[in-house]
Amino acid sequence: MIEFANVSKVFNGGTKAVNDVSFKVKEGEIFVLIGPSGCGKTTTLKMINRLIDSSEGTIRVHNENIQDMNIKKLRWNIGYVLQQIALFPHMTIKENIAVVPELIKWPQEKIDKRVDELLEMVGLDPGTYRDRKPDELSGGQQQRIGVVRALAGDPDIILMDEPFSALDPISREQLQEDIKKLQEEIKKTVVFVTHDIEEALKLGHHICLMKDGKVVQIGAPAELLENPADEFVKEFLGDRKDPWAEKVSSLLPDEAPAEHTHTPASKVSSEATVREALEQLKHSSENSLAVYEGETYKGDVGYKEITLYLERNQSTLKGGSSL
Amino acid sequence: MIVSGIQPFFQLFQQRQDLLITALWEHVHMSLISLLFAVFIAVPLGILLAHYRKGAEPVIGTTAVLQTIPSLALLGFLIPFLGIGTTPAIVALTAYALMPILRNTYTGLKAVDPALMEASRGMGMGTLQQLHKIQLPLAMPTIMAGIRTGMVLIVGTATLAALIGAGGLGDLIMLGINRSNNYYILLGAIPAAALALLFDAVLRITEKKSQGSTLMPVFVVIGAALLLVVVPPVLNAVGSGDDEAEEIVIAGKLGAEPEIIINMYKLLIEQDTDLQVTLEPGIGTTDVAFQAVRTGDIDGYFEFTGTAIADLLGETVESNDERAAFEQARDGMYEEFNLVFLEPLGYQNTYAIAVTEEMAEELNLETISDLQEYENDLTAAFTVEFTDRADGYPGIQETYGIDFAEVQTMDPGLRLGALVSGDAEVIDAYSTDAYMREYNLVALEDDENLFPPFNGAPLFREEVIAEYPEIEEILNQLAGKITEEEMQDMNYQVDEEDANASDVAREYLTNEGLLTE
Repeated sequence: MIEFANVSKVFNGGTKAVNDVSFKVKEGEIFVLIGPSGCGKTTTLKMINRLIDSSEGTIRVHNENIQDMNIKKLRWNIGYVLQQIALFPHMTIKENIAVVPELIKWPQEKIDKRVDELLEMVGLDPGTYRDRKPDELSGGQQQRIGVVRALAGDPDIILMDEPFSALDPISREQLQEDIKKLQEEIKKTVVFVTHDIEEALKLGHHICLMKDGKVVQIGAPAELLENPADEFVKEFLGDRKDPWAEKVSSLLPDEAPAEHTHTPASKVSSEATVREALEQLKHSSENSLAVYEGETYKGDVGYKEITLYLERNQSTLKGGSSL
Repeated sequence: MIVSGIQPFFQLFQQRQDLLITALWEHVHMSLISLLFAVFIAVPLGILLAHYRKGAEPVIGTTAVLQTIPSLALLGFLIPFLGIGTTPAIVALTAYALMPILRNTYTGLKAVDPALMEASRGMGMGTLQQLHKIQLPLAMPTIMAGIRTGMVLIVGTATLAALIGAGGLGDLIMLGINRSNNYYILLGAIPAAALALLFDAVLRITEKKSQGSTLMPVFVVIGAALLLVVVPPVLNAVGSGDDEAEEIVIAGKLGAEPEIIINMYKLLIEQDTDLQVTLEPGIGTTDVAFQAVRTGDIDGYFEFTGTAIADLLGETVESNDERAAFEQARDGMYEEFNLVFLEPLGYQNTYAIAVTEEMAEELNLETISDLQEYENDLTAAFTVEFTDRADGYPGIQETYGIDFAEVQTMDPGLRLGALVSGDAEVIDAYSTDAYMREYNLVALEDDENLFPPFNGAPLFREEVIAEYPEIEEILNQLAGKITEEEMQDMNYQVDEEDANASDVAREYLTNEGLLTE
């Protein structure tokens, strides 16, 4: 769908903002570009709709080099959501949403229908909001309109440049949920820039971690968590561990162990991981395992403990496990 | 003159409605054209500067420099290039309005949030679409504020355009200042202020209507202004297509006297030839009239010998004999500028030192020398020009040895007020001016012959006299004809009794048997 091949960007001052970046974005996925500030993630994003032109390498959309495409047609087919939201303050909500449909000369009826449909999609009543000005809306509502505006011309691709970072935590979380749901419904290809690793893990089907203009690692969230390419990745992800790699001993209930009733076959070492413990449970007829630290019985861990533990850590489970 | 009630004003308003309507229309016309030019130059220029950024500050700086030139100086400066009348006035007014419009357009466009520009670019808008849909609507309040500032500047400054013969409400104001008649000043000033307010209101409403994404109301107003400006001249041109008579233009400086005299010229020339004479009365100062005749904008005007020698030739009057002075002026003007002085009219309108009749009786004053005795008790109110001229107050100090206790310089109209209110006892005056009669002023005799002779005579371009030699003979019929009393009387009729200058001229000529009815 979108393909970067050895793309670099050198700015006038000589700084190499993006250095030999290659990746592929699959159709219908959310592809997150993440990294510390100045890593080149926003520059990379803006090269897709040619707000910034690449210096070297080729970028292809639908297997076509974007340099060979009509720039306006390219942009009409790529929705763009900004961190600053940037709704046009002199236009009504409807006029804001209708910008691209009008540019591509949709008939007025179709535009009207589309505006209402989109407003309903993000839970804003068309009758109430259609004719309001942007400054009459809250920040969260404004960015919903920002998202909807990007969707208006029915583009294949949506670019989102830190779209939720200016919002308060509650609106941010809501919008993240909404975007996730929306994307599952409409299956647009989304390239999403953020500096927030929680957001990246929550939304991204694939995450591309960048540093100093270079790609450090690309993969599904779980892959990054399990097999960080280097210290930087590990550090950037934080002290977050793959919940599946946690030792079973940490799942033990707090109270003192009762007398154990298990046969030796259901014993598990306290050093074993949650994943190993679950594998063992699957092949056992018991519902729980006895955890031993050396020769000392420490307590029982069963389906119930594992399920409760996974529920506690669900935020980092996104992107599917390798099970 | 003291404003003593609102009634005389309305009387004047009713009597001079025709004059007011003409002046108002001229004012509107001149202001609108200038504003349109300024908008058509400054807005696109501002857009270009905002787009390219480079060179913005020098260009805006240049327009700011234009702004600092005093308006009268700018008008005077343009005369050698553009002559007199509406054209230089419009150029000057346009120059004045450029700065606020240009600066506001530039600033307004530059102030548009870069994020909005990026958003619209990312949505696939082209540069022109961005300009039309995003930048201009957002910058419109700022641009309109600039246009409104420019408009107020234009409507105000346009009153000065009367000085270079462009007409407008300034005509009424100048008339008022010249006659020291406050009602005339108000008759010009109030409509000028009202006009500014009206235009401002129209622009403000337009701006309100154009909030949102449409620029339609702006175009409607521009279109309406264009129609108002373009249609009447076109109709005129269509209507007067076959008017082929040969035409000469004769001007007179500000004031009743020159206007009466040039009306006489017109009546006489049109009686005896097929020539069509157009009059340009009320052309500001000596300098404006002189520049206009030199550039050929006008063919002749009414000038005084003393002024020609001292101001135009920069010489000193060699003899206080009238004839000798006239010959000096005639020969000098011809040699220096190829301008032909025809024979003078007879009466003198020279400087005089005037006091009230009571004062003259009380102190037994007859000559200027008699003032010396009281020099420490008297306050003088002189015009700036008189204080400055070698044959003015400096001459009095030197020739008569008189140093007044206090000398105030003020506008010609105001010094009369000072005399009437008792703030001053002595003023400078012109011997034929109407107020001499109205206020019972006495001109003290110039017993030391300080003031040079000021004889009025027609001053024409040589080419005009060569082409129409009959003019010389026709106008010389007036040579030596008009006495000082007759002129004072005619001035009084126009200045104080509001008579029409052309009627006064006609009556005089008819009485003298020069004009057959």
